[in-house]
Amino acid sequence: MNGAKSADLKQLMGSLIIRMQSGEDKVAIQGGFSIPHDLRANLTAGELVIEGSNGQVNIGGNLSVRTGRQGHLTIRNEVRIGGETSVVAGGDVNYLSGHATLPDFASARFNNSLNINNPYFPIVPGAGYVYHTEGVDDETGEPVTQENPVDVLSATRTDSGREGAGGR
Amino acid sequence: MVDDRVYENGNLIEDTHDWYAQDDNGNVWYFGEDVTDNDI
Repeated sequence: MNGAKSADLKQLMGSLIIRMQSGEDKVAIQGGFSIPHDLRANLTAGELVIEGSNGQVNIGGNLSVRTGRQGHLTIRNEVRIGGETSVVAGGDVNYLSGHATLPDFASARFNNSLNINNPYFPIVPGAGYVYHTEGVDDETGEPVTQENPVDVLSATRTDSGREGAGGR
Repeated sequence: MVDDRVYENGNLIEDTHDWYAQDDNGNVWYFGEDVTDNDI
């Protein structure tokens, strides 16, 4: 920010103007935080996150965001915009809401712990997946390929009295 | 147990065994992993 790698703003008096040009740039505005006037962002590339999960982000004026194809915008949970919202996106835009609540481990009961059929995270013995990625080594600049096979096996073990199966 | 391997440019660099269990409410809990790292 203004030549610095990061900045921690406690209070803002006017508008916040953000310009991002590199894909490695990231700005996270985390609540509770108030911007009295406008938030204007122009992202050629990079990521802007307006995060209201831990407190409200209050934008008193307008929210105006323009992104290039490599620009990404995420607005999450409690973000209040007093004025108008304008988003012109060439890249990804995500609006997410809903508070996650963590279950209580101490009161959890594991009477059928090996039947892992959670629809978001099923672990079924015999299932297998292969993830493939390609990229460039940050240090050498050489191309790198990764193969990541994941197989669910039938082995189990007991941990703190709870029987567990494998998964990823 | 799930066997999770990572190959980089064809070389095995990590082999992990992950352990999970599901509680009666359907929450899936992570119970740790056994990892073998291979230097390449």
